[in-house]
Amino acid sequence: MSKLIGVFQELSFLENTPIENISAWVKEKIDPHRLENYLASRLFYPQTVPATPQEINIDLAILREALRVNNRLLYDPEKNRFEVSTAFINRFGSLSNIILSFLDVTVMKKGVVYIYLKETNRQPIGTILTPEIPPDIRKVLVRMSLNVFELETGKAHILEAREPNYIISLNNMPQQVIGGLAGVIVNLK
Amino acid sequence: MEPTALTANLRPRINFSLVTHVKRHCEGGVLTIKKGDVVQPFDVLGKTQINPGFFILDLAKRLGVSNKQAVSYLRKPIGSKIFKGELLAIKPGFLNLGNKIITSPTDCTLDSYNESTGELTIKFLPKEVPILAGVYGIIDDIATNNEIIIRTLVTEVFGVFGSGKQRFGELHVLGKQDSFTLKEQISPEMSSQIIVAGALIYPDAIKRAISIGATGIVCGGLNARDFKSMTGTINTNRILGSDLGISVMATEGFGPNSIGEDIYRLLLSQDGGSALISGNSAKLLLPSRDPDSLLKVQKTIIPVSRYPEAPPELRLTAIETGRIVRVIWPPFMGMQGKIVHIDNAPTVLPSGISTFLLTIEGKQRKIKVPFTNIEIIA
Repeated sequence: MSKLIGVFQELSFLENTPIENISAWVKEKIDPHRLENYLASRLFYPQTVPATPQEINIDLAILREALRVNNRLLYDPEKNRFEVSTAFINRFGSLSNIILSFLDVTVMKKGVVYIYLKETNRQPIGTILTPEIPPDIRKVLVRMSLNVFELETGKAHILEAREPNYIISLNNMPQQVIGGLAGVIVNLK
Repeated sequence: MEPTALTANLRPRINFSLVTHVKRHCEGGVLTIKKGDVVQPFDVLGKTQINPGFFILDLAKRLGVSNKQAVSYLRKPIGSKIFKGELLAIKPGFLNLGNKIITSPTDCTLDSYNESTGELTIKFLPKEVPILAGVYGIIDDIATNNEIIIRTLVTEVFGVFGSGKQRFGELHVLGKQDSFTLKEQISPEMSSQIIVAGALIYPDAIKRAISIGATGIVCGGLNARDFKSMTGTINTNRILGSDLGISVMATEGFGPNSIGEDIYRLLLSQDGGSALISGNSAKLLLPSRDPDSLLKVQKTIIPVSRYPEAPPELRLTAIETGRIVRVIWPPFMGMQGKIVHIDNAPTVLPSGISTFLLTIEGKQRKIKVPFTNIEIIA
């Protein structure tokens, strides 16, 4: 007989992870025993959802560690694609949460990675752009459509971009990207 | 997702009046029964020698001396046998006033002394004990290692995870369903008992329970760290079976959790009675105390299974008003009640998650919880 499972079922490989690896990502101080019990409870009841902001922050910390250990959960390096399921998005609250958590723990190659929704898989729903940036630059000027953004280096920035195609210009260097539900993520990490 | 399509796991908690097999062990002993015999709780199945365990005595602290000095006050050398009531250690006071005297709590051997902690390890002497049936039943099989399979009528209580093989003992409800059990609360009198330990039992209390020969522990929750030290993992799906000399079962989940109202009420009513605990299958069996149960047992034939037991399967079940549920996530973790309303539209929680909420009516209050954060129990 089948049973209800959840996204956390896919993260069961974290059972032996040192708890410090997760607590490092949690902003509020949390007792290690409590965090161990929290992780064990999530893995035991993988279908449960967080009710409070503190709980979603802990879940995203767990997600970061999971992606650090195995970024193939979301990234296919052979196809150079970022793929995420609707269940994943629903579970972690937003696509932005997931993409930013992924970029927190992944060193991306320079270039473009398209984002796909697993269920549709035909058209990208956004782009992660990791440009080549000289090391001493603190801010990057970005032009997209009629908008101009001044973005700090060392961070990833999500630009809302619902149209399918854009030409984005970084420090006057043009690059074609695809927009959609995920937008365009300029990764300046 | 439309609310009519909402589902949750159905996890059984209590199964009343089930005819099943229980195991009693008489390893290395002499049996006095045979296959086909009808037995009652105080019938002797055989006799065997048991090692009741060990006891740690804080000798230096009791004598009020340094850890290094304490061993010199023993009246017998390490390795000696000593009997209950016999003088174990004495520290004379000034002019023989205020002598500190320690007598042996039981028949034992002075096993070893730890100079760094000031603790004396006392090993209880092995003793010959009769193995009582503990149940009304019929002997269906006897394995080569004197494992006796008895068909009997029980109430099955299901926990959520645990560790340890099937063991027999007297049920002892130690405290309230939300209490925490400390080492000091475990006494040698609890040898051969299955201790109902409340919301959580601390690791040194578990060690103490093993040392005094308790056969089992039932608690609402176990710390993940302690469970991992017993089984090697926190992933309950990967455990084939583990045993550390005691059977442990959690009824609710990881961390401190009050034992559920349904299970606690039942255990309280069975306090002092016989029970069998199997941590590896997260099951507690409460044999029927009614002699007439033999009539049902005699009419029900079940095959003897040699396969290891496993926890019961969960079943995906439609969520409907009227179902009895248990909340499996804070802030109302463990609360039980009836579904009285299912929201028609999703709600965005403070966490940012969008989900359908259920209204659950408990004994003392009504709450709203995400439908994913409950399990159906009836």
